[in-house]
Amino acid sequence: MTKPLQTNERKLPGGISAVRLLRPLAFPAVVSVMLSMSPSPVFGQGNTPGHEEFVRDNCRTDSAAAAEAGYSGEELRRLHPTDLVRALQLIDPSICGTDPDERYGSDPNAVPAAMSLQGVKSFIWGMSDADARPLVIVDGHSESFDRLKDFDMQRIASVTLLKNATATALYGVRAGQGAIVITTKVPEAHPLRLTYNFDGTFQRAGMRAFDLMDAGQKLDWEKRMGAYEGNDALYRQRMADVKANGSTDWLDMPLRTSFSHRHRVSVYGGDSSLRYRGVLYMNPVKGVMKGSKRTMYGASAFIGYTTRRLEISNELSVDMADASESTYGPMYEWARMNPYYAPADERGVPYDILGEGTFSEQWSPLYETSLNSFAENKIARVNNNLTLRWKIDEHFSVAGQFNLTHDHDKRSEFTSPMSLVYKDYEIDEIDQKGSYRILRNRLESYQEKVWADYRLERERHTLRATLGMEVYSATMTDDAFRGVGMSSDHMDYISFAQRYAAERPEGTKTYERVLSGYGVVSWSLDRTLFVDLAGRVDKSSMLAPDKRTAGSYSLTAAYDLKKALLDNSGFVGRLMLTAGYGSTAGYQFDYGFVNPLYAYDIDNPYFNGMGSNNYSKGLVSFYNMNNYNPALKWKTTRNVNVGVSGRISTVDIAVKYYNTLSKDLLTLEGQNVAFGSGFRYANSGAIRNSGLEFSVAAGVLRDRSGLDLTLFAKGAVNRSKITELPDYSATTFNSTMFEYGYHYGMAEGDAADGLYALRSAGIDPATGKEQFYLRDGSKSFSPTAEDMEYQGSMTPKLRGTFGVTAAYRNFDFAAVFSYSLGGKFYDLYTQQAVDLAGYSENVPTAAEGKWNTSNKDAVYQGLDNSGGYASSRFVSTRNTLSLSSLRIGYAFPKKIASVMRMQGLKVSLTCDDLWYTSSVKSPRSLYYPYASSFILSLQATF
Amino acid sequence: MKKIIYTAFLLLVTVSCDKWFEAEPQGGGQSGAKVFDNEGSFRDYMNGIYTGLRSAELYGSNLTLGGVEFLAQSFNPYAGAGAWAKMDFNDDMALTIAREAYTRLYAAIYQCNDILRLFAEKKDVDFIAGSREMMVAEARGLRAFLHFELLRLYSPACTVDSGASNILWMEGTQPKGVQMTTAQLTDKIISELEAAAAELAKYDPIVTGVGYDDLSLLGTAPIDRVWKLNYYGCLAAEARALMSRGTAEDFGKAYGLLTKIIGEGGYAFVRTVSGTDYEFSAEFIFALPSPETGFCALSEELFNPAPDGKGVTLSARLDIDDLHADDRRRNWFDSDNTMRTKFAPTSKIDKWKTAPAIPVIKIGEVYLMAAEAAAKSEQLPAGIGQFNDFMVQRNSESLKLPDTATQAQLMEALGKQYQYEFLGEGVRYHFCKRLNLTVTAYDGSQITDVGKKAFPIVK
Repeated sequence: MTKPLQTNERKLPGGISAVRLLRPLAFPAVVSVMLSMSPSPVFGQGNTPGHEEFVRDNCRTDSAAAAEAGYSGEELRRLHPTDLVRALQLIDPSICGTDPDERYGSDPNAVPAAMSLQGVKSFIWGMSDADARPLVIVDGHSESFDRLKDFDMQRIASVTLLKNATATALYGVRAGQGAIVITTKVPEAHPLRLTYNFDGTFQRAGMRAFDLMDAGQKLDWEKRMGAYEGNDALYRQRMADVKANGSTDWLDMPLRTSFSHRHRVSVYGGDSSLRYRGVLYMNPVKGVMKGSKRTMYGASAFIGYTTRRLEISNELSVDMADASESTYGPMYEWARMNPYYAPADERGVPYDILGEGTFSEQWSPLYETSLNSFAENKIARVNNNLTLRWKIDEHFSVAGQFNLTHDHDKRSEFTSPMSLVYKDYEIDEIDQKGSYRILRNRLESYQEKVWADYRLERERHTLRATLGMEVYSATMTDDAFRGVGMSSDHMDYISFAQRYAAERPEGTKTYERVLSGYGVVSWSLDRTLFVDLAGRVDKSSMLAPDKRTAGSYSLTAAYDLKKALLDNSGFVGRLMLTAGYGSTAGYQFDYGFVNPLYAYDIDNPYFNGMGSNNYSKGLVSFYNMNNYNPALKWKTTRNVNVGVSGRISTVDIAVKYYNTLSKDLLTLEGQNVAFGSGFRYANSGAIRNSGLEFSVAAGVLRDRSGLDLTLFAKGAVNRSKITELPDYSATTFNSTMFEYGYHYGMAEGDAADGLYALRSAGIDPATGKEQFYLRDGSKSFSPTAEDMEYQGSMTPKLRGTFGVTAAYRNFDFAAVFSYSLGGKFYDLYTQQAVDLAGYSENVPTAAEGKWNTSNKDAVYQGLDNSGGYASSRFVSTRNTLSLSSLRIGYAFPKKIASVMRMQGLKVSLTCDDLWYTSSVKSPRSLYYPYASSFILSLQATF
Repeated sequence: MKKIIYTAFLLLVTVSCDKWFEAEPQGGGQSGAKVFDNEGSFRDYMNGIYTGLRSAELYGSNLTLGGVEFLAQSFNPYAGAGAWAKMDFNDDMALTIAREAYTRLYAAIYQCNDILRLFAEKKDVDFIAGSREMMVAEARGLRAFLHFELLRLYSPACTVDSGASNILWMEGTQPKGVQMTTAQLTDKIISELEAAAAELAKYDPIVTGVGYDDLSLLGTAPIDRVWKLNYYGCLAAEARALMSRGTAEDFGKAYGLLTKIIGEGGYAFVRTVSGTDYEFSAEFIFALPSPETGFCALSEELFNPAPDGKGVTLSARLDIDDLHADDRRRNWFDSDNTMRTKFAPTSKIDKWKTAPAIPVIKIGEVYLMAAEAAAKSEQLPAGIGQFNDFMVQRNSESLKLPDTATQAQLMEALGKQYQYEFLGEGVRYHFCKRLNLTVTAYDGSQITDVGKKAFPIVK
């Protein structure tokens, strides 16, 4: 929730803002996206669906699975062959919030800082990120969410999104924001095979929505706005320069058409007792901004052995990533550059300061890119997963899963001493110029899961019971330090630093320790009626000391109507009813919310006497620095859902309704300051999300020649509402948002992701400043926080996909359009770049509508404005439509493949994000552009 | 077999070591409660409480030189402070001072309760023998002292309205307090101070003469105890509370405590001024070291003429001729009708490094309280004697009272001494309020019923 366009203040380096042109570390804190080949669990007979599928992921139940959204790896790969997050977004419209500010576009290094399933279930003030993202489960063990974006699509057998508390209850408190459950492929029993996968990706950025003025337009506009009054010579000189050199397209400079190529070789095979797989891969990915890249490489080895009673498997993977961020910085920095400046001299050497001494002096970002500054990450990850299973008899078995993970991420940031951030340094500060910062981030985790499974079949009844325990222990370590005093642009290593920087070195070490017990009882009658009862108890170090143990439970049922009532109907191919009720606990606060924290008041020692001599005996003083509540409770999400899915003739239909109440949410409540502080943390918030999800797929053509044509549409409607919120919380948050000019707020009765703004009374013709309607209906230039009004939910009222899939003989084709309707949008860019803009930086052509003495009937404020209020003028309802995915694939006939000594050969071309239109004409990303991708994939099996 | 396995699972699930879950994070310059595994952390936390007390919102300004002293009518207030000086507590300045002080005093009380909680929880931490007991008593005494500060600022004088119920007694870190009347709270404060003093009598180095200092634990030498609420500070605070309750028995008890300080404390008045220590730091019973530039800078800010300062001058209510020619307090009167000298840097060489301390309780107040307490507990001759001793110590024998002086004459003389003895320290207002006096304001107007005045509690 920052205002990107306000961050271009010129600050001297210090702390985390050392590398001015690099993305702020606030998002993501540590870029640790990496591709990894995590291990698979046990394999073999127990994996047959409907028989003992719980072995792979025993936290699943029949009825819950029927109610949740499951997608096969093949479905996902058809939508996007390389990016799992993108594929999930296209396949399931209930995913939202991954890049709410649309900052990071197609940045290969960006990881979603947040993701929500079926609506926002926490307040948006972001006091803690403990519940920002769903839990990622891969073959039964949890993995870092950061890995999701680069997850190897070829490994995926299926992905299930657990959105409802009925399904997440079995994953407990760590799945309070939902869970993404990935099941990977197990090597099949056949002779040795080798598969080679290749994905070649072209990417091209689209930046047209900036709609900036060219040099002539900008100079004319500046002149009209009075920038050259008394200095006509400057205007004439600039016009002459433009005539000689033309207009500079700064936006084009940081961009490139990138080509990335991914290679993966896997060798696998086995028989009924031994299975094996080895994988090698290399994925050098280049982004569409120059210098932006991510190179991943690694290997994994799987081996499994099974006997009649024992199964054992182990997979070890080692993954590495080298990532570099673009030194070209955020796009808005380039958008603000005046087009009448030539970027470089005739030799091609970039100018550093443009228009020096004039009203429009600018520091050239191109100059910064000519320096040796950089920011890069080197990531190493090791993961080992061991699974054992002992089948005691035909009814009873025990199993265990043991996982060790070690991630290491080293980030290096170098700011050249030649950078303009040091421009104003005095001669005696020369030893402070240049900066090299090292940040190290480590994650070490151990997970252990042991469970017993009991199965009994008697006539029409099938009973299954599972009882398990799980241990999760993770240690996260971060530290950082910075050296300064490099005298040359090429002294780009920490050892060249003359000294440490003045600020303190950073370092944190945090822990998560969870001990859990869970149980499931499943009963089915005639494989027609399924009833599951599940429960889990978690004791976690992430919960409050006085309320350390959280419980989750669910009751779900599924009824196969087709089998029960319409068994002989040919018209109805399938018809299943599902219903469930459940409650899942979830994290929502960090350690300092529930435990006391103390710190040394280093700058304020308690001196022990008077006079200079005695003052040297300063006593250290220590103080309590936080307000905490040791009895804070976890977040509880209660959910009820009903659904129906079926196939009638050639039409597949699924509809699901859900109603979720997230209660005991973290809030602030006012209290008597006699209690030590004027507020306290409480569990007095609640948000209700209710909605409908549907999908329809109709096979409209299926003829004997092999042509198969299916039309499909999917959609999700979600309505969120804050049902409980203390006044103190709302007032505190809303006042803060108002003070900073943000368009956020919260109030009971409004949506949890509400957009708030002042109701604009238009631009005052006399002054060129904006007036607002106050609550009492009067107009004012000086509104207060109480005058902010709810504008609507930022979540679209309806969003989803539609399209067509077709197959003809060995060809397949798919076109997927994405749509979203009715979400409220705040056009921050236009406000910052037009309404609040001066004439010193370039502006969009819309700035022609700014107020001046000859344009008093204006839609944008004049130059003399200092207010940055969130205004209803920039609120609109956004409807979007995009051609998200277009694919054509061809599987070579076996005969042809065998001529090439292959067992199979598939090729496909997938085009991602080809076309996009929106009712709001504003740039989609201010930091990193969105790109259209063209991915040529090849899979050859030998 | 199944039963065994089920039982094992249940045991694993339900039985676990709590310590494993108490995974305290490290870093960010912060520590959790585990840092209190040694005596030094407790000592540092005690320092932190006092550090908060010397903030500008409390004794670093608003409760002393920069705020409450204006209520003593010592100064001609600067622009905007007139209403405050005349005790109009609905004025914006008063509301700000009242809100900030209320918040900070209770924050300090919270810290006292927090450290007492930690003392109770961390019983296995090793302390130098007696050190733990001393700090526990000190925290308990300080908590009572701070409640009394709240009481005398935010409630009418006990003798005027003992049934007022403005202040919560806070004991513990939970958001639960006990609403008490002024009488009940005064009783509670007295008993708490009494208990604290009883412990401090055994463990305070200022009494035992043996410090707890070693290389790592500074600040507990007998001489350093003046910067903490020590045994004698506790006794004096108890005497203040007793005298606010105001029965003859209370005065008698207070007189006993005060004579104990005078007799056993070994405090002496400054008879000759040497160096630049014009606030006579040797007379402190309990004082707070100023922040690096704090009190000195405040004095400069107040008494510097505009535009550099606020141009505060001494009010016409003060007359240097009220003091004997040899009275060292005359040094506080500067030729520009200010009192900059008193809180001037203690070194002329390094001005900002030698800020004076903030006196909270001085031996002078003990003498003056003793004189009043004796007189009001049917020991008038003894009271006159205490007063005369004080005047002798102040080199003002000529101002001694005759043995035949009445209680009223004694009180009048005491009132005058309160005006001068605590100039800039914010003490006289409480004296006037306790006695519900009518005060002549800096501009000559009369302020009646000072005992009914109370800072508003701004929520």
